Amino acid sequence: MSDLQTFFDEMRPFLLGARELDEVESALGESPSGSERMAFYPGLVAWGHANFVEKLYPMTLARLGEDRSDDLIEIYGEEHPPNHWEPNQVGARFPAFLESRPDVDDWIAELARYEWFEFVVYLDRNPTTPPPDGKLIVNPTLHALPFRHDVPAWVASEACDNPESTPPEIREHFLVIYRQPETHSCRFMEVTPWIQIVVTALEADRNPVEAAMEAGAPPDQAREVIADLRARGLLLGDL
Amino acid sequence: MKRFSQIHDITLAGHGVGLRRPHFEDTDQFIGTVDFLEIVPENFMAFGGEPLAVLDRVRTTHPIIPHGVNLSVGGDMELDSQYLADLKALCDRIDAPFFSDHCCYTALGGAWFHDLLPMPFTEEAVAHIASRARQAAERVERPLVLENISYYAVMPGSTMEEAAFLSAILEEADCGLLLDVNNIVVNSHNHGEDPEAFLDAIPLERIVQVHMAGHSELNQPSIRFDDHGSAISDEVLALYKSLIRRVGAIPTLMEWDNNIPAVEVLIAETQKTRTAEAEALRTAEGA
Repeated sequence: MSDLQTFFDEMRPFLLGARELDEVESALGESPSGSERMAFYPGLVAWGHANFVEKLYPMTLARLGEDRSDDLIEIYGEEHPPNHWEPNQVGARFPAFLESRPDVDDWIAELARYEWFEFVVYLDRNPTTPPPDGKLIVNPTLHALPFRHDVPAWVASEACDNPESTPPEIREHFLVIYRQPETHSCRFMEVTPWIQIVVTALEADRNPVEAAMEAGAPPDQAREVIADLRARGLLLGDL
Repeated sequence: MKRFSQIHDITLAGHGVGLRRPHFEDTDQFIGTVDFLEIVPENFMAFGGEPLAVLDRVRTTHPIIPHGVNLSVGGDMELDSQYLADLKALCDRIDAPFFSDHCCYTALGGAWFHDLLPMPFTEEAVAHIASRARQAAERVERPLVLENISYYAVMPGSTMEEAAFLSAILEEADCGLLLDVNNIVVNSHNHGEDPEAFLDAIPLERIVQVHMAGHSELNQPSIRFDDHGSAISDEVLALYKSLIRRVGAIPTLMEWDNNIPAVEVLIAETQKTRTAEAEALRTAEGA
């Protein structure tokens, strides 16, 4: 094995906090700069990873409190070393990690999922311009997610700024999350039966007005529903 | 001797700043105040939405230079094909004359550290990086410009000085140099080296661009820390002037990545580098 490969094999676990410095020094020799300087690096890497998580999940971590957040981020980093060049992917598995923790309330994991999708939708690669043929389509950045708690109402209220506030109410519902084309901002909207009918019809390449009428809507109401969803940016293009 | 920029028809000039997300709504203030903008391509190349819309807007007003952080040219994994394809597409979109990244590794064995980590200064590492740098430049279809990083420990097994290591890579890979003056100052403090001697030892004709930034001091360990979180220090400005006296005007960029200030502050920092450059050029003429 080359000296460089030995260096890599030692540094990888060391930088991830999974190998002690004295083991590395046994294999590679001491740094001319001294052990203290070498020992600086795993902390630097962990600090960088924690920074990415903190930027992605400000509300979740504020609710957890600083000490608990620090502990959870440390465990998360050990269990899920970053595996992608895109730095924000450092935080991709954080909601699932919280969900798997019996010591974290379910709704806090939901709050983390809410924050993650806000990021995902904001940066979604899909364009939010109408297709070249002008045909009505569902905004391609749209995601539909189930929630067990009324996280959006809690986020919208002043409760999210108060670490002692009451948790959100239990209320099972679906949310659509998408990027508003003009402002590039992320929109959350509860899935209504009409949204479900219109989106399902468009995804099946069916006329959404006909689908709404089949479901019992008068033609004018069906058109109003679609006009409203276009105005909100959930639908793009024209009928 | 011809400069690397002349050989590759790189006409970038003046004083620029790094475009960061907090400034997305203020980009009009860069018009007429800075000469070019630098972006971190990883913050744009996999995304749509606002970042791409902002990029399309600013590229009509400024030259845009991509300065990457995750090529991991020193790493042990194959260069990532999708990463390079996305990077090339972004470079094409902004008509980038070159792309830059750091002389370091950021990933090993499938784990990404998202930090700029130093290599051992060895002949083997020179050959390793040079080969990968050539591959990257071929696949992105434009010159690669490598930056000297700040490092807090000389890696075990090193057999060369940093300047000799960097110079050998640049020559063997035929790369340009993005000279970070702040990093030279940080390293000179942390390793007891003479920053002027560093300038003496590197191929100045390969410098394509200069980075300026702020740094801080830490206690444990007792080091200068390259945090890009403050204004340019007088010490860094003094070394910059020394560089300009040696090589003339070079495109110069102010980097500020932590505690990012208002656009006005960034623009004021570029005014500092403009003034320092002008003073250095006057001194050089008078010498």
